[in-house]
Amino acid sequence: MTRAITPHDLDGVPEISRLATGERGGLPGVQSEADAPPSPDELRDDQVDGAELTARLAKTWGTDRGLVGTLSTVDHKIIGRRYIVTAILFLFLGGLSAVVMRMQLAVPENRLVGPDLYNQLFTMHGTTMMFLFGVPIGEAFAVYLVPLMVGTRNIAFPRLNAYSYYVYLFGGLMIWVAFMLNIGPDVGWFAYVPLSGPEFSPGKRADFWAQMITFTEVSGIAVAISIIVTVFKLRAPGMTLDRIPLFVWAELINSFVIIFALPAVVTASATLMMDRLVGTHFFNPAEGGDALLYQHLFWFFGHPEVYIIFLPATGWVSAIVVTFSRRQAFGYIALVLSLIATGFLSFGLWVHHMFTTGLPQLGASFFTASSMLIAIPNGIQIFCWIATLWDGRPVFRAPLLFILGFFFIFVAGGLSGIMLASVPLDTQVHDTFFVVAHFHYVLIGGNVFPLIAAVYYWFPKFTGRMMSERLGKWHFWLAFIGFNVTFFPMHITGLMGMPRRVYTYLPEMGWANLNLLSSAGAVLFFGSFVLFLYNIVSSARRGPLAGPNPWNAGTLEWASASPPMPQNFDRIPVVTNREPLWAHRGSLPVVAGLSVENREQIVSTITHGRADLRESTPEPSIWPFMAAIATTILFVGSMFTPWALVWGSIPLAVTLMGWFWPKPSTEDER
Amino acid sequence: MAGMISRGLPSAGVFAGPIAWLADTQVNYAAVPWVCAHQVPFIPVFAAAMAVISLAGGYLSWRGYASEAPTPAPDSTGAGRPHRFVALMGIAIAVLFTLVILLQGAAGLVFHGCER
Repeated sequence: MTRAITPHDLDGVPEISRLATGERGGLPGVQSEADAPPSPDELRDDQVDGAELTARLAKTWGTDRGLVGTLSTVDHKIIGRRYIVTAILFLFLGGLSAVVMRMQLAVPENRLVGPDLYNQLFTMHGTTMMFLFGVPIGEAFAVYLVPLMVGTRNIAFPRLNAYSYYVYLFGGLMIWVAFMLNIGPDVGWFAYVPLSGPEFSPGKRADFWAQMITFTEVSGIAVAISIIVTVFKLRAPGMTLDRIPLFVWAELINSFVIIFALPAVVTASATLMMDRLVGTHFFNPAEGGDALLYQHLFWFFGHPEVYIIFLPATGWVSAIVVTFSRRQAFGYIALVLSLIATGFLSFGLWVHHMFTTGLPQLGASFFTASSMLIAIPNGIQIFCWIATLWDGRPVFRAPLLFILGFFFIFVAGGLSGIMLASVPLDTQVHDTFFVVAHFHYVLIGGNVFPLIAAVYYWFPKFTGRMMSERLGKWHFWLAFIGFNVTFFPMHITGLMGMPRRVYTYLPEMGWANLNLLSSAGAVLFFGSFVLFLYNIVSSARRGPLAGPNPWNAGTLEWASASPPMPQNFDRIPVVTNREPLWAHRGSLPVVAGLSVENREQIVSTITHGRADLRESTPEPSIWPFMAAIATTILFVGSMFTPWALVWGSIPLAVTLMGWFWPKPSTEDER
Repeated sequence: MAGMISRGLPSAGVFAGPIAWLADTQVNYAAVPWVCAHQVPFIPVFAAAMAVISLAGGYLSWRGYASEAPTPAPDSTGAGRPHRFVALMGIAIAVLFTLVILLQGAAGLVFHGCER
């Protein structure tokens, strides 16, 4: 499958041969550690080959068995797999809470669920879908796939990555345990003040919401940093900026959006907790605070959040459309442009969530303009994908079916979104089921359908086995019909005036038939997920073996084994094309010269992807797990007493000292 | 300075457009009460100034594209010349954000700032 590079391969990337040949590289007069001759004592990957090389690298990069080994792992694939499974479990939990709500609303004056539990249900549904599923699922796929796609052996800052997963898990468990104990938050996924403030929400329900935000934001920002550094500095030699896979571009832009958006909601939730716990008055107008400030802070995060959910999905769509069209992406530059423009513009739309708060019309109109014009980059993306399919030879397997479903549903949601960008229409339908229909078309269309496609597409890489195509087609039609039967009628119930977040309604309102239809659709949609789960479990156990590249795709993750070995690649590939596996069918050029005995990676330059340094990456460690436990103690304790910030910082400091305690690496010892 | 204008800067449009738009959004949003009180056509004037900054970034990106060396030759997918790629991105982003800025500025021609 691999062969050594030849000078011909390197015409377009003249700097990458030095690791293989030992020749001095770089610009004249510029030298780096990569130019240093390798230590003669250390076994390097140009000295062994074949099965011996694979086995030795697997030992070097592997994870120990046992509980401590499992909790100490820093392998991005293991952490990524845990992230994906956990996020999908939260998707199921959030979906179950929605099914209960739909059962309650199926008929007027239903007594299945009372108002208090209903408040908790819609809060848990929204919170789980946005914070415990929407943000993490995109990052989860990035954790698993980005290092493989850029041709490296592990994610940057792998211990930080491990820490982020445990913090995310503990935060999610905390809020769901609270819900199981009937003390779940009941203030909506946005927890507006004054409803969530100390006057109207006594007890700890709102605190669980606010502190869950802190957990997930710490986790989300940590992963985003790891991904950005991985993309910028760990790309395979030759992967110039314009050869980066579109999926990786999407995750890169998404990570930047996360880093700039999430601090706003952490500020909102932290100041809310201070108002509740220590008597500050940030949001209390009676004492000089400002309730509207909370909405600004929340939506400055909240609208980019929509794109944090959507941007990774564009990466999945691009990867799948290209593979199943059998041609490179039409409009690569336009697609990257759309990602960058969407990332920036997502920060200038937040006030369209606040059109009914009495802001000046002139001020609101700026956000109408941005809201309407973000349709341009999104429209460009859709056109590029359709053009790719149009000019290709599409193969309609299950992943592509879900992508086609995404086109229909997301475009419909986008159209109602443009309607809602208009102040008069938004004012008319604000807080009605029309808005519920709109954002479910956008979010389920824009994230869940591409996610399902992504699971079908990368399942062979994750597990080494194919999913059932027959069940996949059944799954698609059940999901597509179920979704539309559930959510399309909500446009009409909303226009008829049915408000959101009401636990029941009177028969005289005339909403009963449409609600019953929506609930029937929800049962179908739920059934599609049961089928999906069955397909996953049965295929993981008995599915046909996949091989490294079952779809004949062109990106680097398909050059590794299925599932990948701990080292990802026996030798780091050289990239000479946007679709490296299509350009070098059967023989991928590689560089050699990395250590076999130490966890060594190539650090490359940002623009040209030139090999610059050989750098060690951290070994497994239990300290990130311990630090996550200490962080959990501090966060949970600080819901009850501010002194937890003082006393809780001691165990946290101890674990961080253990984490960062200088430990000579094996390479340095030699 | 003259050399920079001549040689250009491939990434200029990627930054100039969004930064000009950010300034336009923030300053104009904050200026609404003042515009209402003084009835001065500040919004379109400021938007025009920001549009010029955005376009200037696009111009530098275009110069960067034009002055980029024709080598190395692109691969079969047209890739392998990242500076040209960034310059094209800069031109397109500058144009898009100029459009957004002008549309925001147009609101100042319609509203007086006192409408609620």
